[in-house]
Amino acid sequence: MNWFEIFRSGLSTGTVLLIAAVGEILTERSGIQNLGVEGMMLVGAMAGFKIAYNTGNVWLGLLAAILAGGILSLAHALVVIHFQADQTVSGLSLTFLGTGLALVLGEGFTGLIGPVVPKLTIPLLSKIPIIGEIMFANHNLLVYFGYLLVPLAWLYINRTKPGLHLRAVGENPAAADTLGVNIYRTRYIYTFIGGCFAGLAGAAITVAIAPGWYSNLTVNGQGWIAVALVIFAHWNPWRAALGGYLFGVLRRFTLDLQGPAVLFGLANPFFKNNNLVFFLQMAPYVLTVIALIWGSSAARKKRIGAPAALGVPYQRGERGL
Amino acid sequence: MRIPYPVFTKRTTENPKWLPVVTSVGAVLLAFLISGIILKLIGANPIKVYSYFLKASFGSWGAFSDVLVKATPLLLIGLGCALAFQMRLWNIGAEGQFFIGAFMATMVVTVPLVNLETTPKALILTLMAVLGMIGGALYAFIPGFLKAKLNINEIITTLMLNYIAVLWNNYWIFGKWSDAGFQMTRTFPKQAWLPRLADYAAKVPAFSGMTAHIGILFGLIAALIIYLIIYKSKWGYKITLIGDNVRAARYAGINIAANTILVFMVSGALAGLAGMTEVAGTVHRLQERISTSYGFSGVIVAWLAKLNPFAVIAVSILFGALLVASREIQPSGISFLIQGITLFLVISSDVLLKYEITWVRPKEEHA
Amino acid sequence: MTLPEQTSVVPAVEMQDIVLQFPGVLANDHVNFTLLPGEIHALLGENGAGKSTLMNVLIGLYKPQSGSIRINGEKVTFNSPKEAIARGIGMVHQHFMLVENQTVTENILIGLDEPRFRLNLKKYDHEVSQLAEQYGIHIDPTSKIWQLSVGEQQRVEILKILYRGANILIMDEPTAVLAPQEADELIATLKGMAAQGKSIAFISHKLHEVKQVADKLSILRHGKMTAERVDVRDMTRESLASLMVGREVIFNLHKCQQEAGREVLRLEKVSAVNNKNLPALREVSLDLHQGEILGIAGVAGNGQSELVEVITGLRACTGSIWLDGKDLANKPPSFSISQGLAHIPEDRIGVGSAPNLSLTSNIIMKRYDQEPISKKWQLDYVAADDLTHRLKGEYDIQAPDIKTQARKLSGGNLQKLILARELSSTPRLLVAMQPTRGLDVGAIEGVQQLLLRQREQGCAILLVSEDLDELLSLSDRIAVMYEGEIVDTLCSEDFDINTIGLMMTGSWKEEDAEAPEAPLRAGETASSFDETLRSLDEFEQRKASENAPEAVPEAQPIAPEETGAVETAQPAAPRDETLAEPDFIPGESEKERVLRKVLGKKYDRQGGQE
Repeated sequence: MNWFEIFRSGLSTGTVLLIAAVGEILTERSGIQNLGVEGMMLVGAMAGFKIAYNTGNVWLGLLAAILAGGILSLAHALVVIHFQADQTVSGLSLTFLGTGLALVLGEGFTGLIGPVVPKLTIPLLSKIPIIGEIMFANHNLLVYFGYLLVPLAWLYINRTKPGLHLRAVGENPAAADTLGVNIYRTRYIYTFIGGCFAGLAGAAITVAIAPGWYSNLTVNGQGWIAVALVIFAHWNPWRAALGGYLFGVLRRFTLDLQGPAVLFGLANPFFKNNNLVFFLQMAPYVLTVIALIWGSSAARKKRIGAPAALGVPYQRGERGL
Repeated sequence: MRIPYPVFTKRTTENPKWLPVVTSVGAVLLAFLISGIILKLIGANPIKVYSYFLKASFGSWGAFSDVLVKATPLLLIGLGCALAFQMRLWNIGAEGQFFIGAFMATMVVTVPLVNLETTPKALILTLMAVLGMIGGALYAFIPGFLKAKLNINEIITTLMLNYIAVLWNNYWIFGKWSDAGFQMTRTFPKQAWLPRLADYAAKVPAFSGMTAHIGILFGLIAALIIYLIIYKSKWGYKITLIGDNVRAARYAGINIAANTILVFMVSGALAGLAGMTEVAGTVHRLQERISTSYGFSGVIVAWLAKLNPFAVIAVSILFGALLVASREIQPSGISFLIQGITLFLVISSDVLLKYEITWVRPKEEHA
Repeated sequence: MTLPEQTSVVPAVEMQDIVLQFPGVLANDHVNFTLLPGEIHALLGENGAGKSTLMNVLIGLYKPQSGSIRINGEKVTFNSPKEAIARGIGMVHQHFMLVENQTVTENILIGLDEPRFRLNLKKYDHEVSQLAEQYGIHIDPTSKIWQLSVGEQQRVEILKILYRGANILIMDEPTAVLAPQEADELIATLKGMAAQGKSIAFISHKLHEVKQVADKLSILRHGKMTAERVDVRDMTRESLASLMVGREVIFNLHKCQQEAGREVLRLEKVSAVNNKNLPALREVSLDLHQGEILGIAGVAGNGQSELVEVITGLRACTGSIWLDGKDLANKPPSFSISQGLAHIPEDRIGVGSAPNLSLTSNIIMKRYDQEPISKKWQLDYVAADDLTHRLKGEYDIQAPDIKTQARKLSGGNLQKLILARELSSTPRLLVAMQPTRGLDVGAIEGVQQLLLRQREQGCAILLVSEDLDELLSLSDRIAVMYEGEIVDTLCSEDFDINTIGLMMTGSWKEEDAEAPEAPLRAGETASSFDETLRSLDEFEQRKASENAPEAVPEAQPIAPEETGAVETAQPAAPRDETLAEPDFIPGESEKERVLRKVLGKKYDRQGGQE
């Protein structure tokens, strides 16, 4: 049981979740619920890998992934903002759409080896005992991107003018509208940004954290876990990061459980019976459900809720005369 | 030049009856068109692909039999989803409920729960069907309960449960029930096979080789029952009312929590029954891959059919054809793509049902 | 009928010939509106008349198909609210446009160009404080909106537009959510602002308020202007109302004296919390009898919603609620429905109806389980349709047919649908929450007549309403709620609007239960200006009711909304001399006004008192 490895690995896989979750936080704060994150991550994963492989340039791949996720989310935005369709169903359809696109366009790329985002050790910080080795040594660049993303996102949402508008649009769009804020444009922008992040998160898997394209096993539910994470995080980037990293740690932990013959002084059941590994694989999904249960009851206690206008289409002029 | 832009105004008059049908059919056709374009982009020949589709699904009675086989689980799951969606409960967990239903049905054979030699076939199959439904219902109880009591988003819980169900089945398939170390159970004995057309090949030679089984009849009966429930019964009225305005339903004295759980369980029971028909009627064993995403396709089927049980029959046959035909096509994700595009287009076209569109030329502004 | 205007003053706002067409509705039909600097101009009209729409045009939310707008003499076109705001126009909406979990300052800063990116709240908190002081508004800029009272929230709205440099203020039904005393405070604030040169447009349908605050008055009816820039002093309540509606409107409903019957409803020490887990009801006790209407007065948010919810089974509570001997507390709504309780909810769209379902489906909402609609497990839609047809005719619900979706009905017809559903089951107890809110005068009358008819048939009615006039005219008794408690219950002989108003704002003390004050005589100084003004208003109202015609109409069927030809305004014959004095002369101080009103003709402004 190498705890260093477990935590390091947790940071890596957690980064994927947190990038997607932060993107979805931005989208949902503006009042739009985008359940197509899984599809967008797949599309981003495929596009990122394919372009990186074909051009040999991993940065072009990342760019392609970002655009792919963003463009797909624009479809959701159009249907939900302009056509006022039900956001739940539209998001679901986008998951199918994204999955279908990714599978078809990614045909033939399974198992190939492509370029990877480079790793980096941060000079001074990695010398800090224990924490330095876990957090700042030999990590993928995207992990460091994740470290920066979280505080920046929080500052943006809570301490800037555009962040004020974002929050207003999600809480009381009519109020913001009468003050001249363009509700439609705001929602389009943040839905697009959320999709870009989802695409980036998908590519983070295929060109950085777990390199390679493996068809629909590539993302395997992480998009949904990210959506659940947003609820668990009360729409706060810090908590989303915490949740994401925790998830990563637990996932690696359950994987490592199969290794040792002896566990905490007792015979390791997972070592003896290989098939119990399936229960370990269930862990992330069970944890997600538990996180949801815990998150919703805690929310009820603290009276914190979703952005008030989440999921409600905005129509100007619906005030009674 | 001023470009005219569309203005959406809420419809105040009733929609013509044909409009929903036209939008659904139009969405499917358009989806095929767009997918064809994408196929062209990756170097495949759409014409060849589509003509193969037609031949492989409707070219012969044998092909049609295959279509019915694939349509059976779609029909049952689609009906379950239609019922749930009527109440705006998003049961995306049909896939997981399908697997658990298959598991419970398999238990009859692998444990075994009854003496397979002496028990009459009808009883065995009935037991399998009942257990399949119970399994699906119990598995759907979990997200239903969480939604009813804690208001937890059922989309995420059902999706997570899907993954868990597959892994649960794998534990048994790879382990205790494994057939000589292979990743599947042994083939069921003939007493646990749903009767199919090929069984009557002696009497009707044309039936030889046709694997369409009695499951399709289950589906047709279920369609009738669901129709009666939604359109004729008091319970259906309550479900519809909750789906339209849950606050009004609460004000009218309807128990939302109880109905949430009940509807989820019925929806799950149908998915579980589908699982049973698949293992008892088609593959005759429990294995890792028993579903080509029937659970998700069922969602699309229900939505495309606009929740009408009889339309679900038609749509499930259509999608069954799609699945049959795409078995041997490269790229393999093409059916998923078409389904995804179809659903997206149907949702977009719903706007036509709610709004009238007029094109407005912006006025020139004079100083 | 317009009075000759001084042409030398450039109007702050001049809207001419405005036409605004919505699909199916001509909201503004060649409407004119002129507002002078320093003037308070009231826009009257019933719901749907087009007054809010007209002001929404002015604020840049809607663009008229034709017509012109001039601000301070310059022609303008507004493509968005931002442009109107830039021109110094600001609107305070009836439903506050505030983000609840943000602070006052944050709300004020939304949509502004400054600050560009970084949000330095401390600096702006200070600026907001300064602005508030300038206009005598007391508020803490760092408090979150949900922590403020309704009156304070309204002041935040005013600050919002003042901060943007508004010189033209539009108030949309500002006193709808205020208690009488808070409304007086607001009116004083507005008059102060007008005195500082601001121009104010004041939308209202409350006639007595308009007389208090406005200099000039314009009236809209069905999108057309029926009176333009009329002097307020020339109008009586009755002539105003008839201009709004187009026919004679009788203000006094005839209520026959009834003996209250046996007790139907009793609440004993009922307590409950609201959605934020704060106490909403504190040991409330009340009783209600057969054939009696008990009105619940109070400013919204003092526990009325929770009271209705605990009685109808939608909220948990402690204590007991007896309906004819059965305890309703904490039982599900199905129980109370089965015991003969009918409930007209506050929110007719969000709670009271299923918008996408047909009239039939809405009618049977509470009786799908009863014969003849219910047939074992089935629903007899034929019987349901029959019932709907019958009720549609009986209650005169205007709709193409019974398959029409409920969301296509107008407010008044939707309310009739709900009434038809609830009243047709001949309930023992009817709980009606804001039954006439948002309806036009014709529909209001109809609903009130229906309520009275139920009362005559022996139904016990619990009526919660923000409209004090309605409560006063319909109720046999009135219970006033403040902060979750019943302050007191008054019988009809003791109905006094000022007492009730004081109770509604928690300013009621036992000592105040003296006889109402007589008007001051010359030379006396008032102990408090507010009380003086109030007793003066009361005196005026008493005088007015003495002069009004006696009205004893028979119970009328619900009249259709279309009435007929537009009538032009005729000023009423001059009445008692005291009342012919203008309410408000720009430039005079409050003290001068009081003295002028009290002394009447004897008061000479230049020379002081005689």
